Amino acid sequence: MNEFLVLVPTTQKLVGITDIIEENKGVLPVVCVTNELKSLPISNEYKNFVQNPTGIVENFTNISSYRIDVTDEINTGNSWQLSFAIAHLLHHKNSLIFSKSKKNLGDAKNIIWSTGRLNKNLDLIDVNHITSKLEISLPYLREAIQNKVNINICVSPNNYNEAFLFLKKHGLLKYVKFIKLDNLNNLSKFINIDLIPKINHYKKHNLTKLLKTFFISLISVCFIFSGFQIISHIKNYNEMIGKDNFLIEINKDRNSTNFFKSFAAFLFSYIQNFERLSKSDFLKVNFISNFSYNEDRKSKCNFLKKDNKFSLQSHCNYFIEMTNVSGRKLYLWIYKKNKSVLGDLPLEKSILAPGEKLILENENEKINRLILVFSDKSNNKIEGKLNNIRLYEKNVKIENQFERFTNLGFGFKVYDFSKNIHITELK
Amino acid sequence: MSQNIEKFQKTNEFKLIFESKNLTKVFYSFLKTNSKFFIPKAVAASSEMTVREFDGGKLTINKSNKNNGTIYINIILNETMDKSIKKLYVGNEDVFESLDLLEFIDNQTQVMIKQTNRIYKLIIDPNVEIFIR
Repeated sequence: MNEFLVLVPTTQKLVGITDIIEENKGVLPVVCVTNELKSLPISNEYKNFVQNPTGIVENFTNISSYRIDVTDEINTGNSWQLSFAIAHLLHHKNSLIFSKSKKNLGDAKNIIWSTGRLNKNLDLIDVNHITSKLEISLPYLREAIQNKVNINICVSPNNYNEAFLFLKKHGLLKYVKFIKLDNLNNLSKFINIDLIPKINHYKKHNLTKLLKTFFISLISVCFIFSGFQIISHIKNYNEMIGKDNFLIEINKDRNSTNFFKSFAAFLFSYIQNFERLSKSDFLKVNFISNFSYNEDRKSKCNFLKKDNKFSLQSHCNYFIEMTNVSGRKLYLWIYKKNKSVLGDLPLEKSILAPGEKLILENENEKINRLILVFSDKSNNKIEGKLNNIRLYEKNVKIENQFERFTNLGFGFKVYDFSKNIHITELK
Repeated sequence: MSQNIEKFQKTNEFKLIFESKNLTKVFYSFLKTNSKFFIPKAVAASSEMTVREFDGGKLTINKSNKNNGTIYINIILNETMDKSIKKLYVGNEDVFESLDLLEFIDNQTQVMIKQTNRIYKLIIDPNVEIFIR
């Protein structure tokens, strides 16, 4: 693997990097002259250059603190950024050769002489004093050429011409690889080393972001499409409610293999059930016992209510009071199932004005089941459905019939009567 | 006295103070009231403390991975101070050391010392009081 010595040119000295140490998290990144205890003035800039969110080095290496030792002081400016970034990347790849001392910047087959500032996108920004930095470096470069060292000189596109003129003037152009670098990502192809695991991570990060956006968009489009499909089906059901084949259609759709149809039918039934529950408040049903008193004039025929069950002593009589509390005209169908197998009780139909009451007696406890179906709209089909219960009671599940009432937009209340006058309200 | 502590030479002035137990007591009590931050003696299970939390911030001590005996002393303050903070004093009876602090940037400063420095042995000792002013 190629190994590189990285040089940091300044206007005063050509500086080498003598050490890079990964420090613990709580330590601030520092730049020091080799082994000294004093941090150089650029240390705060270096901290911002290393650490997230401002820096770039931590992005590559996942390490948030370093101590970097250099051969000479670097006191101002930002042109060290490109060299430091390259040094960190090479160090991360174990391909960095450190300088030995101020006087002996190091022996290496490959040298990178670079100057420039970097932004967060790793674009190279031009810097000043290119000529004087090259001038200072000239003796070292000449010696390196003599020693047949591969010299890579990296500058930004805007600094290229100035450096080109200098190198041409001093006859160095044919001995060095002169790199016009617009972005640090592109350095790998010039120096034949896959520099940057973290820059791949950087790219991967962007790719992940792109994929995320794509999937979110895709899911959004699917949601919108599904939403349209489902809404259009529900709209269709709403228009079909009055039609003969509505219940057949919705039942067919619920069992359909088409997800949208099946889900829309389910959703429509669900919504209608909510509607039905709100309509169940339209009709208030009370069970009222006839007064019967003990010797001490205390009532002994009071309904006891527990959950959805009403109970009364067996010798007490009672009647059923239904009140329209909807505030509008209410159509009411009353289905009474007879206790005895023989003999039918007729289906009753009534219209209740707002606030109007209807009294129903359960003489001799003839009623076994009471179904009250009501709506603010008249619909003759409901009579057919209720008659169906009467005709096919043994074959038709009562719950299925209730679901049909719901789908058709009716409210209903069902009560079962058992011995000892226990009344159960079916929800 | 508060103005002059920074100018005290390790020699005569301190010697005079620490020769008397009463004066030593007065000196530390005075330093405590005149410091921006005070880190009292710690009740610690360990004989070496690498983190000392105090009312207003935190002091951490980290060894460098360079293995050349470099120690990083970091002070992180919870809030920005109006007045500059320049010195850290570490003291335990007649042992008293000071350290120049660098400028606080983003409420944080870092000083490097050698592990062989007397102040390192003191600063990791839970029985010493630390004054930042």
